[in-house]
Amino acid sequence: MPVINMDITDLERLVGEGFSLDEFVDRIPMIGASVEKFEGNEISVEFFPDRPDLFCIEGVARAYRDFIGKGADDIDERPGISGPSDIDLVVDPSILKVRPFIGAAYITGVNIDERTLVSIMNLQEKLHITIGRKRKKVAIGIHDAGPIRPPFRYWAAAPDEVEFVPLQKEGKWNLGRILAEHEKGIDYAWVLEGCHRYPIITDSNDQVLSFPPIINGELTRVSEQTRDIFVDCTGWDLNAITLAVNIVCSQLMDRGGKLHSVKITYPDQKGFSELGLTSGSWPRFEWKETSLDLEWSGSWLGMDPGPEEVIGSLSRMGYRGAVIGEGKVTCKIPPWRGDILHPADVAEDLAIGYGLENFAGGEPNAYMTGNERKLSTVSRDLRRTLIGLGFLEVRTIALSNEGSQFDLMGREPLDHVSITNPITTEHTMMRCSSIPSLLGILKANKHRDLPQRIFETADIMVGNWTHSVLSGLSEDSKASFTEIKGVVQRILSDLELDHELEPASLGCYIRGRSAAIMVKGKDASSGPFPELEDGKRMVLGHFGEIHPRMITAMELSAPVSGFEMDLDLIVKIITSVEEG
Amino acid sequence: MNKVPIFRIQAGERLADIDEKKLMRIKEELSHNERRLIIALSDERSLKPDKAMRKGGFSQEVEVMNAASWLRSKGLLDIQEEVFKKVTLGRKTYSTQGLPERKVLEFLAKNDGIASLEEMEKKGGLNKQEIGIAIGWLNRKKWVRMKKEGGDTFLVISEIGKKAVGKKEEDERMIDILARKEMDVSDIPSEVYKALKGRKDVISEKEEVIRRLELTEEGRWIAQSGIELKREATQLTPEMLRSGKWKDVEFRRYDVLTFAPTPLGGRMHPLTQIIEKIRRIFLDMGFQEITGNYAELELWNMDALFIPQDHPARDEQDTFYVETVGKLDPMEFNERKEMDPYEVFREVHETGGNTGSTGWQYKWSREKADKPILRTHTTVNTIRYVYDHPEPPIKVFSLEKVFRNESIDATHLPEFYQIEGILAEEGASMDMLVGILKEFYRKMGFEEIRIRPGYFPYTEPSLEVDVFFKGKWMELGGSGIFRPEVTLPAGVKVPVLAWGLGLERLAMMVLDLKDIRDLYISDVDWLRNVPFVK
Repeated sequence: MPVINMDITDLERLVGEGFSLDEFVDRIPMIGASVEKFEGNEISVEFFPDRPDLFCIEGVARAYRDFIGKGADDIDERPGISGPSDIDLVVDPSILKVRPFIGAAYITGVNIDERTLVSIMNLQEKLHITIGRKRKKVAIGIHDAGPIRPPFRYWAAAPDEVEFVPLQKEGKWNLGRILAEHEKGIDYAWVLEGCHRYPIITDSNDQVLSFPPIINGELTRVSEQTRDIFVDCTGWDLNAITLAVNIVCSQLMDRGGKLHSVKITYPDQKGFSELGLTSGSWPRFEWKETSLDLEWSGSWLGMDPGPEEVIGSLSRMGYRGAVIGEGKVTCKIPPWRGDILHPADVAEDLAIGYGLENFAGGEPNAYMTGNERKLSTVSRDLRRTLIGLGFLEVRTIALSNEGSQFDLMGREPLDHVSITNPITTEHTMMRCSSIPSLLGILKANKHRDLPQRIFETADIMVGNWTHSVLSGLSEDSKASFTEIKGVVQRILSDLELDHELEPASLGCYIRGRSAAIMVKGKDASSGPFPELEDGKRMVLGHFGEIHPRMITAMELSAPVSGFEMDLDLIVKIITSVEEG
Repeated sequence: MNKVPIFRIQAGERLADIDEKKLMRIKEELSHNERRLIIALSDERSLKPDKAMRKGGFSQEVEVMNAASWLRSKGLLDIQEEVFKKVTLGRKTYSTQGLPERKVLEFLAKNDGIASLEEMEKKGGLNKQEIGIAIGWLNRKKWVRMKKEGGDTFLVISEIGKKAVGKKEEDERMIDILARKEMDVSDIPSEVYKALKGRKDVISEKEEVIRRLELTEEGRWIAQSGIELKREATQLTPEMLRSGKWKDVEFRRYDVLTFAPTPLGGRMHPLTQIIEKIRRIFLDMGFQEITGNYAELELWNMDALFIPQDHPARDEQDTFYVETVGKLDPMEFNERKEMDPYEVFREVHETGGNTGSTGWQYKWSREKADKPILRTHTTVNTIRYVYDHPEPPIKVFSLEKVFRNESIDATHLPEFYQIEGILAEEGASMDMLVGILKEFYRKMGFEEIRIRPGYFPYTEPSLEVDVFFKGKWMELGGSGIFRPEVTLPAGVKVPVLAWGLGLERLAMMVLDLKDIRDLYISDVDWLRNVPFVK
């Protein structure tokens, strides 16, 4: 989640009179944040992805001013568009299939110092990663408007059609070269994959402002001398573009800028209108009205604040012009908030503005009795049995690989769930048996004293389904078939399970030293030991002396015996016995 | 020294009744060896341990000292200690062959009073190292002077040297004495001692402690009161039980502080202890346990929770995509099979349907929803349950594993447990959620919690829960009310309160672990010895 680093002096300046750092550290988590660290003159705060307006110090200061009641309540003092500029931006039909959505804004008189410059760049980068979905959905360009002359044109150029000096480079590069060689080109070429022409914004003298979403021109680089700024924002999602432009404009207005509108003209073509793209004035910096049914929010939140408290709470969350009437509160949503989809979102803000610490906490009313899964009960009982026999409980992970599950186990591959995007060769499938995992524990503890007796109530997957098994291993110079048979007998007799033992041949055991535990009856679903199924009975599990091939592969020095049993089947049998 | 006096009495004076009682009690509890030692000392002013051993009929001195230290701790005996520094000869050859400088001097005497270093090595039978030591001491004792001639160094015997030939000096005589016996430092003239000590390996020193055992007044009082010696047995045997002989013996007392190995029994894994504790809490609060399958469709894992299809949480990087055996049936686990989940979730994503929401306003993809994955949260168990049981009240929990595509390191695991509970009933609200959280965390042992705004894509409001642990606030869980876009399509009309936390994070906190791998690739010695989870 985005972490915003803020200079405390700058924060103090933006919040204004009466700023207290202690109060800030104490209160900012209650807006929805966590203070990561603060050192020297810098404080780092993590915000949630649903509040991109807080991804810059200006936005944090703005929200915080409101939250502690320093915001201007007056609806007329809210930030907005001062008036139209004479800037026209014309969208060319060639862009339709390439990157047709564009928004823009013009801000004059911005005070830019070194810190502001860094803040502008960081906000842009964070918006690109989050709501911009790595520039695919939204990419923002911020330009020094000084050197360029409107009208501007947004169009699609062939890779070698246009040349310009990209940021941080010397000499003119064409678009194809930028995509192939510039750091940003290499990083973001995927966004334009499949396009034969690339997006470009030029001015009336054919000077290049930007090659969205890759890089701006050196010509319009913003510096400490910049006062007037032109913002472009391209992409594939009108809502996200609107929000991104509004957040950037708010930031620049907080730095003294005045916002002016820009006229965007789309071609009068079906392709554009089908996407909802029509000519008009930008930015769409609108304080949209919303309303909240107070009875609904009161029951949803479980609180009943008076009208003044409702208005105050919403104002602390940045809403303006709240009015109460007919059981509803009507108010205007700040243009930089993109997370208000449902009255529930307004209700949440109402709660945050009211102060979560002011909720005392009620009690549920419905009477219900607790009930655990039968598997939990049986697992607990068997855990006691095994601990009583001196077995140490371990826990292992269920991700595994074919080498451990089939090659090591000497087992023909079973139907299993395999990972299609593994990041290590260790974890490429879900295990079909927990015996390799238990051997892994013995391997990790080969320098520890023997005997080592371990067990797990483990999770495995055979076919598409999760199964619970109980498995155990005993490593000891005296580990034997007799010993592990005794352990299995103890379990079976504790559970009073009627069963039949018969010789089994499984690759993980020494030939002639393993047995299958069979139970009468038929189960509709297949169990975790398909090799042992005979079509007439159910397989409860198996046990025996582990094959020396596996012992040596795990670098162990003593014999190992082991067992694995189907816990789900045990639960089914017990349940059916209990239910008669 | 080191005495623990109970009280002092003058000889012949009677002890006060109460004190006599105390001493009689001490006497009753004396061990066989303690009794023997008191008897041995009763007619002596003091004894050295070896004498006391012989007199008391002990077989080893250590038995005497054990008994003595017990008696001292009971105030019945003093152990006087005197430390002596003993000197012995470090290297016997210094006595048999003489010191290196002596060897050189005698060689020079035989060689007309002069020899080169080379000669000395060849004919004098001295090695280079010895010659080096010898030259230093020859100079210091002024037995020779050095002369350089034609690149060779010669040693020429001096007048003092001539006198010393064939005549051992004080230090050498001392070496001869030390070769025969060890000596107390105080018996060696200090000049000689200093000279010998200044040389490497000539003498070695050790400290010797001479102890004397002496009964205190209290000890004597007990001795005079008469002490009975019973036969002492080490082990109670079946034979003794059968014959009744146990009545006639005194059992040897053990030093209860002696090392005893701790048995390595079977034990419960600490994670299980925590899971069991939390399951107990849910059961106490009236919740039912639910489960689910590890392999799921994105449809239920994500779309059902109103997480937009291009949400970063649905990024391929975080999720394990899987290949299953044939296509997973989205309704496989559902009891109510009549719904078409694709249609329901498409509508709410695209337009909000009839939930009062605007939806996400994008083109929903069935193909994306149909991708099989390993579930990334147990909320998928919860939401499936809600679709099957939309009628309130609902109180369920799950304690199961979830999967994230991460490689294993000290703070990450690709699979971990999620603790999750939901509650839905008429009148449920955020305030009720706060109340449940307080109760739940209090039962876990966190008296103080802080609730602050959070963000989860499927809850509104979303809350973060911090607990006050070891002096600071720690993030420990998330919570919220399921969005109407999540619950209304399921037919649930009342708010659904949900909360959850990660088991391993909690475990690391309470077990004070720095490495999460300790839980899953455990050191068996840790498992054998880690104390109960509190």
